[in-house]
Amino acid sequence: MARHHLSGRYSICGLGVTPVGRVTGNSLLWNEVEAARLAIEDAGLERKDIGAALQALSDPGGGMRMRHDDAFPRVLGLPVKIYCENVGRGGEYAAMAIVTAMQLIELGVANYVVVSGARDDWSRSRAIKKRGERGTGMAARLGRWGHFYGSTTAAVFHALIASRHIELYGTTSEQLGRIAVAQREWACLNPQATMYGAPITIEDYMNSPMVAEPYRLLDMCQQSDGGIAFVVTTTERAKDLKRPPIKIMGIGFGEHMDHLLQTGDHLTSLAVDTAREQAFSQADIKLDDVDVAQLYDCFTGEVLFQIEGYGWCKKGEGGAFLDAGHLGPGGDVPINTGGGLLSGFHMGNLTCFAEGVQQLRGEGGARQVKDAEIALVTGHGGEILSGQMCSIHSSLILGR
Amino acid sequence: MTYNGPLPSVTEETEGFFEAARNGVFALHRCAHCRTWYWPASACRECPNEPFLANMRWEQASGRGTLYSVVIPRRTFHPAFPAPFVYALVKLDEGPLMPCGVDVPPEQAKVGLPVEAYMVKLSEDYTVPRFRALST
Ligand SMILES: [Zn+2]
Repeated sequence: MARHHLSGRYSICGLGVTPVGRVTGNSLLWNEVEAARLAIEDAGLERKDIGAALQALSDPGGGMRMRHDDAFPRVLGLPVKIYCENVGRGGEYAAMAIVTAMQLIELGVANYVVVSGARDDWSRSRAIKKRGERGTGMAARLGRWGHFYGSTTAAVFHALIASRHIELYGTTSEQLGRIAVAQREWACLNPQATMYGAPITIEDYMNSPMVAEPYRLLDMCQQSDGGIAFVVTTTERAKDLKRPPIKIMGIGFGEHMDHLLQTGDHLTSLAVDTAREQAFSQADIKLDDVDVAQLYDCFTGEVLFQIEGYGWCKKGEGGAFLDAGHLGPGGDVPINTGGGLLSGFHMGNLTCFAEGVQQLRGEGGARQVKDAEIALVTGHGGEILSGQMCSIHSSLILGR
Repeated sequence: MTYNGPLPSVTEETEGFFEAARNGVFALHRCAHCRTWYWPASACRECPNEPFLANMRWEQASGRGTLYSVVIPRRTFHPAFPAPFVYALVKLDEGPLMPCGVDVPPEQAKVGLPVEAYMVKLSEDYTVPRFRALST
């Protein structure tokens, strides 16, 4: 098999990460602006070089933020020919934005495309307490199916799929806890992580309160403020810039929407199959070639499903795989090496993406995985069983 | 007690479902050709479809099913839904799965439990189905 002709042709040449986590005080816009500024600077580019800008979706599950009043390229004075808002769906932004950026470059619309995304979970909840919904309004949020049954928060409907896995395969709470503990161990090596310096044991996990049974508090991801941006260009151009190019080796997508509520198939898996096959075949790699995996982890169940879906173990055997302890620092399957969304911070799959880039650049510090050359970065929708039916899965293979 | 939670967002394609509920009828979307049941509103996967899915109708269904996957919120997220309560995927006898509120005690909410729909009026304009243990 040969690599796809576009595999390796485009690269990430700049990455910008603002202070992120329980950091309040900056708006979504300000975080997008700052992340984009940092990414352009990191690449060693000037603002005049940027020909296109994409805003990664800034609010995955909550409904589209009504916010067309201003845009980060305007604030930064980027001479862009095109700016698209809300590129992405659910928690997947990086892969869709990269596909869009590659095509804009391929068509000659731009030479360098900046992608920026932000969240403001902490600021928003504070603002709502203080001033009501003013300035934080969402379109079409309340009233979705499930809301009028009390499924008003992501933990409730996400727990339905974990519950099904437990029922079918005998997966235990303690096994889910292995994911939470392993990722916390990684987070404790990452000064950027919200839970840096806050180690947990499996006993802490088992003692953490049930929130939406079977999910406990420690099965749930962080809420975060901050922004992450990156710059895409051709690998040829990236070679002349100050950072080592991180090559885009493969991108694949999957969805599970066609039969989801008709057959019940796919309730214990994410739409990994097509995404994995497309991305791995474009890059011409096998699972063994993956040195670090950054798997979208809004809840522990999603990690379990992906461990099975990508083939680290057979379907239904994820629990036993977790008992064997492969994931944490020093393990043979380094997953979510920055702590992930569970213990790091939640910038959608820009969290996974940034960690993938940092690992391949060798910037991981205490958490650096030795000789990491290939990173798998995934993205995932998540509102699989709410009215929104967001089942997207993306596989992105990065290489150095 | 007056319900003070979110009301359904009714659209053109879901109006038939909520209209039936208001009349005390548990309806599912059904193909006029092959008679397959769907929920929520869907084009028939088996047949060619007519413009604007004219072959699909909201028809009265049994309202019966079994619990398929169960979640028990143990924290109160909204004052209208004090924890604990049961939110579950119900496998309807007609085939489709429906995420729904289920009015059984948490300890009774086990996969496989037979349930039946009944109508609950949320406000003057909105009635929705909920499920309870099938009376024998
Ligand atoms: Zn039909």
